[in-house]
Amino acid sequence: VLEGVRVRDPGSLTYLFNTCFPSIFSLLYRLCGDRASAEDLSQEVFLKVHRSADQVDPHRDPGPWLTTIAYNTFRDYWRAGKVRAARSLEGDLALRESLAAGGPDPEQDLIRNEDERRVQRALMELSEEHRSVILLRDYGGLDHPTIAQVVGTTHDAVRKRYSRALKELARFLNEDER
Amino acid sequence: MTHRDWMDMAPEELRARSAVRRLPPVDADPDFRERLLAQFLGQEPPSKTRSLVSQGPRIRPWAWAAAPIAAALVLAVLYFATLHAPEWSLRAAENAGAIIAEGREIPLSDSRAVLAALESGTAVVAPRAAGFELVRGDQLVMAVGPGARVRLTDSRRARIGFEVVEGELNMLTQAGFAGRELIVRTREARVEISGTLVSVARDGSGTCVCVLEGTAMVGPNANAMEPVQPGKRMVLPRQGDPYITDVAPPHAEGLRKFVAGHRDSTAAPDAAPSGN
Repeated sequence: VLEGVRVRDPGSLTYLFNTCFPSIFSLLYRLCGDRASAEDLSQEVFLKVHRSADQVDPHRDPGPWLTTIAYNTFRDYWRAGKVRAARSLEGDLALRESLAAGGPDPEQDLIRNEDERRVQRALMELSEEHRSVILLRDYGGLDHPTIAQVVGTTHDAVRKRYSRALKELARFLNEDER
Repeated sequence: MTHRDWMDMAPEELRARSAVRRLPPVDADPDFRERLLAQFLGQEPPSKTRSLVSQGPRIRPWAWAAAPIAAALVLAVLYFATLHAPEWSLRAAENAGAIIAEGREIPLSDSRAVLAALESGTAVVAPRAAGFELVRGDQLVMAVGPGARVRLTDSRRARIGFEVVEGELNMLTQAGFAGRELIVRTREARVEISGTLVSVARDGSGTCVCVLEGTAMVGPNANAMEPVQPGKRMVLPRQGDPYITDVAPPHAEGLRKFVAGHRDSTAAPDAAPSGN
């Protein structure tokens, strides 16, 4: 498939998109806390993916490469103040509630949604660097060396940043509970 | 994360970590996903042979004879298109800020770039501090509210399509609009307008369509449209059934001011169809 991606074969690109879009979109949403910004950023990410498709290494997992593009795109936008932080967070969670309403246990769904809202709110309180490292580690499931590669720093720096970020997140969650 | 790191974590840090790990994936809007996939597949590869004319097939001699006819046809099409489909123009206050289109900021003072972004079908986001207006000849004024995210989906001669992703869009038809079709969509609603003053607002709780003049057909989809009379609004919640109720007085007042401002400035009577 990745050989096909390198020559921009439509079937291979479709496969790559279908495989990677859900996780990239989810990550961008969690980073921005805003659906509209996540959509804007996804567009930008896949434009960049198409432009640099010929650079894909067919022998390696494309996940870190895509995540690096997504993270860099988010970071640039965030630092330029273009991401509309958490503006429609409540609305987006309302959407999730409405989707969940059809589930087998609406009460459990509501509790889950309240938890989700609380955690997302706390994540948005973190600095962009701290939020990124936590989400890449615990939401994206990347290990520290891969995160170091994605954010362009050392393994040790990532480990320290993650530790500080987690302490801070725990504090925000505790404050929110009180 | 090493075993030692894990052992060093305080209980509240472990809870915070678990909370992030439990966050569910976020589904994108299926329409957006489809559009993005189409856009992704439709991209042109960068650089390469695009400008290398000499590498293309040789032009056959008969093509030279046909060229003037083709050129005349193109000119005729352009002439009629221009004649019957007035171009959009943009109105915005000075220093109104910039829209965001595909993540790029485009200042509202650069009306050509803003209109080009809209006409390419890109979703644009109005500045949070100020909206802007799109005017189509003597046919239509569309006021995009501050922070609204809209997309022009169709701009053919007799048909105009808009999507309101988020925020408010007020529309006022004018004399030249008669016989044209304006369809506005949101995630929850489809609004068909044939000559009227309508406002479509969308937020996380759903869509509200207010009609101050004329009649608009509104519904969740094309098979379930209902007329909404002047002074009424249809609310289409994200959860629950649509219902019709009165336009809230403050909003009606705002819409009256909007229409008064434009009738004064254009002196063009509304082209509301008979019976409205």
